Amino acid sequence: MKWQLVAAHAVKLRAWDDELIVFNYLSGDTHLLGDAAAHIVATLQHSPADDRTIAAELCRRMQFDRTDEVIPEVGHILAELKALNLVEEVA
Amino acid sequence: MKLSELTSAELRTQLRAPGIVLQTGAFTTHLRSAIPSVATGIELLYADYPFRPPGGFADFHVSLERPRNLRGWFRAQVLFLFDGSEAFKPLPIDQAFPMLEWGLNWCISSHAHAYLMIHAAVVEKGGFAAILPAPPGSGKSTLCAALANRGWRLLSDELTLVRINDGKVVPVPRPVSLKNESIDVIRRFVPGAVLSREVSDTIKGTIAHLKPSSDSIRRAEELAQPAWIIFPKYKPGVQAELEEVPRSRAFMRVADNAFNYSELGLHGFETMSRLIGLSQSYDFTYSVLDEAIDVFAALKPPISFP
Repeated sequence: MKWQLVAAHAVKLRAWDDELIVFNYLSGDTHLLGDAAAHIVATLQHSPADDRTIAAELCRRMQFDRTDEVIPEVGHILAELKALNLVEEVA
Repeated sequence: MKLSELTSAELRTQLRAPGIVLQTGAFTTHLRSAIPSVATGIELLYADYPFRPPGGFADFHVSLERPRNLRGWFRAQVLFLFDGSEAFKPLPIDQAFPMLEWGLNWCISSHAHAYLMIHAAVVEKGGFAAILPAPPGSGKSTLCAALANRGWRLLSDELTLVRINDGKVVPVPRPVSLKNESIDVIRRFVPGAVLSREVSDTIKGTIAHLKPSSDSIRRAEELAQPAWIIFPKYKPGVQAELEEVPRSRAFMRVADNAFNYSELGLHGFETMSRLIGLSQSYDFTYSVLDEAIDVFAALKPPISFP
């Protein structure tokens, strides 16, 4: 299953250090995301991706080579981002 | 023309009718009132402000009046009218001048959406602004009053207005609202300070207002470049200390202290992003005003500015 940003054109990002401010101007909400969530959103900004691809990209950026161990954590973060109306499953 | 050019009698007569148009920084207010304590407060604290007779445009039309009802006869009260309508519930007549100050803040915070408005004091030195966002009780106004009497220019003790098109801070210098113990703290810290009569039993406790310097009023059209965002917190017994706040955290905290961040939508996000990106952000704890002044004096502006 692939994930995508709910409305990539309507999301503005501002990164400082390891954190990311996300503004969704469809909802008007602003969110502060930590390091891992920020990388996931940045990845999905380019194109939709599944859990494994996202986990692999996250591992590459964080120089960590055990993708399988990261996949469950990516799942949790995606669920949280979905609850914030930032990401959705691709239909 | 400055208000001080009117005699006391002329001021009271004009305030009663037709009113005066007072210029406070970027805003003009057509003000009418026949209540003596309002005239006394205006005469004392607004003497250096420019004014003109009514006519032409004014941003806000306000009056403070006695309610015309039975209760008003038995227990004297005051109403704040905005465009002729009651903006708030009446208060005891003794609170008429504080009500004017609160009402003028409300006029701006409810209507001036050409700016990102932050609930924060703001002072300036060398063209650079230090913004002090903080909830009530954190010592924001006390610190602001102290800084404004030690080399910093008062831009506002309550409302930081950030212009959307260029991110500059627009001054609204008005009397500084002091509460409870802060009143005597500032009396001791600023010998010769001009303060309004203390009004007790308000919703905020005992209130007095401090007259801003003539310089801050004269330079009310000089904008400032934001350079520091400092979250002050008074803590008894501590040494004055700055602790850096990551920009992303500062963004969320300033947004929480903004009156209209959400209403401005994308403009709010972009203006806040620029403000945070250009500023150094700190938590600041202090207990002794002289130490706090020294810390502020040592602030260095960020290196790069547009």
